[in-house]
Amino acid sequence: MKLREREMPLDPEVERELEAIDRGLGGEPVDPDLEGLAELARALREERVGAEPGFAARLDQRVADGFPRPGRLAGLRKRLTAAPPRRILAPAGAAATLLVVVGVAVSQSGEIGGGDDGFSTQPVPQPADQPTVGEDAAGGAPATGEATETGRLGGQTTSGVVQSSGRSASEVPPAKRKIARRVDLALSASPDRFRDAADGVLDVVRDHRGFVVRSSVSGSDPDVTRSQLGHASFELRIPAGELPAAMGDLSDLGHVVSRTDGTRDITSRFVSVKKRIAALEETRQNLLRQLAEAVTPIEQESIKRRLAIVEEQLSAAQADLGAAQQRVHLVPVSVTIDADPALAGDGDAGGWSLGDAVGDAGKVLSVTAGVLLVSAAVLGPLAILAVLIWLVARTLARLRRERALDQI
Amino acid sequence: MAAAASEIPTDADVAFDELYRRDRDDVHSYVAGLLRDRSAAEDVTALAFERAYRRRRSFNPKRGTRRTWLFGIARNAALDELRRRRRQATLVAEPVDEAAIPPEQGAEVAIRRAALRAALASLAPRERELVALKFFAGLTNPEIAGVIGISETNAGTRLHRVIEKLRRACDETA
Repeated sequence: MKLREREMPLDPEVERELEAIDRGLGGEPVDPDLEGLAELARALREERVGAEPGFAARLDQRVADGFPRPGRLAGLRKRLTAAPPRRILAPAGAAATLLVVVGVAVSQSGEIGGGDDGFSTQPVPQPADQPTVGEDAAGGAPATGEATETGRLGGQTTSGVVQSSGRSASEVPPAKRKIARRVDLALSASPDRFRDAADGVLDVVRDHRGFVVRSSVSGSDPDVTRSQLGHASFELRIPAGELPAAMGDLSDLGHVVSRTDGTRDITSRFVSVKKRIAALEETRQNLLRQLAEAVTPIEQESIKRRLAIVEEQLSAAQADLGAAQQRVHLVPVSVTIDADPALAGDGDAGGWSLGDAVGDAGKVLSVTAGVLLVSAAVLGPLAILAVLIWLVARTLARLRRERALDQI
Repeated sequence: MAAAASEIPTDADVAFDELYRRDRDDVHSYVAGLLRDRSAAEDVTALAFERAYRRRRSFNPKRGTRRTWLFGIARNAALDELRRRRRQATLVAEPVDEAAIPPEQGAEVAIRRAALRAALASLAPRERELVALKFFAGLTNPEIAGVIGISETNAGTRLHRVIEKLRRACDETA
């Protein structure tokens, strides 16, 4: 019905009567047959209730005062409400977007790295109880079964290797735990700087009171073909106390391609060997007492044989203990250096170059684009939901108000 | 007038002042006609102007005239008042004051006015609202359509029906 009323034009007679009402209200003459209608309109107009003078004066004053609000927060509220919602919406939306962008950016910040100097070693967690993995007594490289964590950092690769040897001696305080470390470092240098880098390794070892176990250098001639480029490898031992400084100096020798840090908790091995030594010492003392009390030559001979076996085991255990101590105090460090023609002309292989800056700029842009995309993915549905809720609330409020006219 | 003394009035302030001066009595008459409660009408009128004042900068001329916008705010405030009354179950309607008819008027006039008031009292709220907008507030048919949210044709048709109803009621009483 409503639809028909909207679509249909007014009946000419109705339109004429409505016009007569308007003319009657305006004091203009109307057709004689509609004079009664105009009179009714004027009578209705006279039923209008005027405002009391007191009310009008009070309202005039409130308008003149700008409808002041009572209370201490009136000023703040006035300032906040003075701005129309649409003006507040933009800053509020921008703030919400910024919040999301910052949140996402913080979570993504690990993707952005600095130059070569930004190389840092990942903290390696202390191992918990884990089964023993192979290791040579002299402190050689760990055998298979290593758990390796690898991360990207400034275009380089760094790894942390976590190992545990035997059962954990949980009663040993953390400060006294015996930790065996191992570091593998791969460097590259321009062909013209390859020899200096290789020589620099020996200088670093000497400066930090370490020693070279094994070394190999080949193809250092800058004029050789690409397939004969230089390669050097070193197996070093560096005192544990000197390791951080030594690694810093070694890293400065060239472009760090990768670095792997491995640690192994060998506390249980220490505890086990010490217990074994104590037990063997006790056995040896007992045998010595028995030997002193032995009467017959046969008995003495038997005790001597057993004593020799125990002393042999004791020597082996002590050697084992010494090797373990050396493993803790002297850290095996493997260094390889490869000549890389791509680095030719790079005066500062370890510095932050223009190429690094371009690379970082690209990363920043890609991360920013990703952050904006994620933000849009988060805020888009929220905005749609908010608009829907607003529309529904508005419609419901309007319906409730209209219902007030029906239920009186 | 509405801007504080220390502030330079903006266009919105000036427009609001004009709106207030021109429409204060019309708004009050409309609200009083709808609520039929003089005291509540004053409160609602003041509330409507306060809301209009606080939203004066958000007025969008593309959505209608300032007068239509103001009466829309007043209508919402009046309907909220009606809802509040319904919740409190204290519907207060001012009784028709027969004594308010000036004694100097003739008996015939008095009878006609009494009949008209009785007819007005018999109207449904929606019909009474149309009368209030048209005859108490003095809105044009397009303005009424804008305030209520219906088409102009629909507003004219509804208004004509109400007038017919009133005319019949007055004739019957007479």
